[in-house]
Amino acid sequence: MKYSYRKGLFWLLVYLVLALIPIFIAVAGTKPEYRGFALEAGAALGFIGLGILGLQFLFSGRIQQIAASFGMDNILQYHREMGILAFLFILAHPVIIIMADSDFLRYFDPGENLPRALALIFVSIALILLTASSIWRLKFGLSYENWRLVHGVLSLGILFVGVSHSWQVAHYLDPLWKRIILVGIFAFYGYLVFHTRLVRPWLSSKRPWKVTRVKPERDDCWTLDLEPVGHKGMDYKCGQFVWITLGPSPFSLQQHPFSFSSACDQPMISLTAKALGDFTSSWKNIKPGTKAFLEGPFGSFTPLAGKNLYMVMGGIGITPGMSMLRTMQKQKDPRKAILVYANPKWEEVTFREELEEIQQDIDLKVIHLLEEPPEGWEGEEGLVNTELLERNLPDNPEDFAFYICGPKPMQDAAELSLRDLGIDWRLIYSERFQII
Amino acid sequence: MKKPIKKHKKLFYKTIRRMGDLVGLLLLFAAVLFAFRGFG
Repeated sequence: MKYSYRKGLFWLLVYLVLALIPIFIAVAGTKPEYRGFALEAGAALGFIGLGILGLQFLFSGRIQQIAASFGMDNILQYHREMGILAFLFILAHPVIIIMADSDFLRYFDPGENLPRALALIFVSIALILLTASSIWRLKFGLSYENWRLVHGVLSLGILFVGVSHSWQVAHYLDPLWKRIILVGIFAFYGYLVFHTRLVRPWLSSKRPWKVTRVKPERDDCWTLDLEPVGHKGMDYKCGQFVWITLGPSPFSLQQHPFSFSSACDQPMISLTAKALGDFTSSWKNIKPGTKAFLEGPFGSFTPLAGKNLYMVMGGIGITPGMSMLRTMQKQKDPRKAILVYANPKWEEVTFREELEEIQQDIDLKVIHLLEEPPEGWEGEEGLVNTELLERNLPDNPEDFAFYICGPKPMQDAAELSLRDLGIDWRLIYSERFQII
Repeated sequence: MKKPIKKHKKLFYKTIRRMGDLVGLLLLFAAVLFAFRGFG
C-alpha cells in the first residue's frame, strides 16, 4: 500500500462532503425564514457537529477498508482530533443560539418540556464525559475494557439525542422526508457500532481458534501460537494485526490488537506481546487448548512490493518486523533488509538468536542499538537519532521503503530523522500501538 | 528509548493535528457561509 497526496485529498473531500450531509439535507427543498447570522450560524454548527459525530462511527478504525487506506494508528489519531472538533461544534451550537436569543434557554427548562430538558442536559454532560474520558483515560484510572463500554454507550446516546433533537425542533427539517433521510443515515452510523460489537463477534464465533503453545521470549515477552479450528485460517499480510479475544465467548469487552509475528503464508499464526498490562501479563498463564476469537486482519504496515526494507524497530515493536523477516526467510526473498533494532539491554533483545539464524538465510543486516550496553560492546549505543540512521543508511535509499515501529519517543525520533535525511514521506511507514 | 530526544518534535501527532485543524477550518467556513446566506 502506497501513500499519495491524491489519495489524501480524495479522502479529505469525501470527509467534508459526508460531514456536511445534515447541512445539505437542511438546505434542500423548502427553506424556512432567515433568522439572522448568529442564529443560523449556531444552527449550522449543530448540524455540522452532528455530521462529524456520525462520521466518528465510520472513522473509528474498525472498518477494514478505511483503516487499510491510512493505517489504524492514523485513523485513530484522526478520530481523536475529530472527536474534539465535534465536541467544540456541538457545544458551540446552544451557546451561540442562546447568546443570540436568550428565549432558547427554555429548551433546558424541565418545567416546559421535561423529556427535552433531560435529553439536552444528558447530552451536554455525556459529551464532556465522552471527550474527557478519551483524552485522559489513564488519568481517570479507566481500564481499556471499561472505557470501551463507556465510549460505546455514551456515543450512541449522544447520537440518538442529537438526531431526536433535530427531528423534534424540525425548523430546517420540514417536510417529513428530510427527517426520514437524516434518521436513515444516522441509523446506519449507529448500526456500525452494533456491527462491530455484536455482528462481528458473532461472525468470529463461527471461526474459532485454539491456543496450541505459549512460548516465553526474552524481555518478559510471550508468544501465543494459534491454530484454526474447523476452518482454513486467516489470509493476512505480514506486518498486519488482529484483535484477539481469549476465552469461551467472542462477546467480551476484553478485545485487544496485536501484530502477527509469524510468517504470513501459513494457517498457524503467532502473536507476541510484552507483559505490560493486565491482559498481556495474563498470557503466561494461558493453557494450550484455550479458545480464541480473532477479528481482522487490519493495518497497512505491510512491505511494499519491489522495495528493499529498512526497519527501525524498538523493543516489542519488532513483532511486525519478525513477521516480515520470517516470511522473507520462508520464501527465500532476495530483497535486502536492514534492521536497526533498539533495546535497553543486550539480555532484553527479543528474538535475538532467531535474527542471527535469519541472517544466514537472507540478505539481512541487523544493527543492534543498546541504551545500556554491556562492557566491551562495540556496536551502536544510545538512542535513535539522525546520525545513527544516516550512518546505517544504504547507498541507494531510493530503493528502500522504511518501516518504523516501537516506543513513542523512538517513533517520533525515527520519523523526523528519516524525513531530515531526505527520505520521501510516502515511503515511510510507521505503526503505533499506544494510541487508545 | 526512555528519554525522548528534545530536538525532535512529534511529527506524527503534528501532521494529524494539522489535518484536523484544516478540516475544522473548512467546516467552520461552511457554517459561516451558510449562516451568511441563510437557509431562507
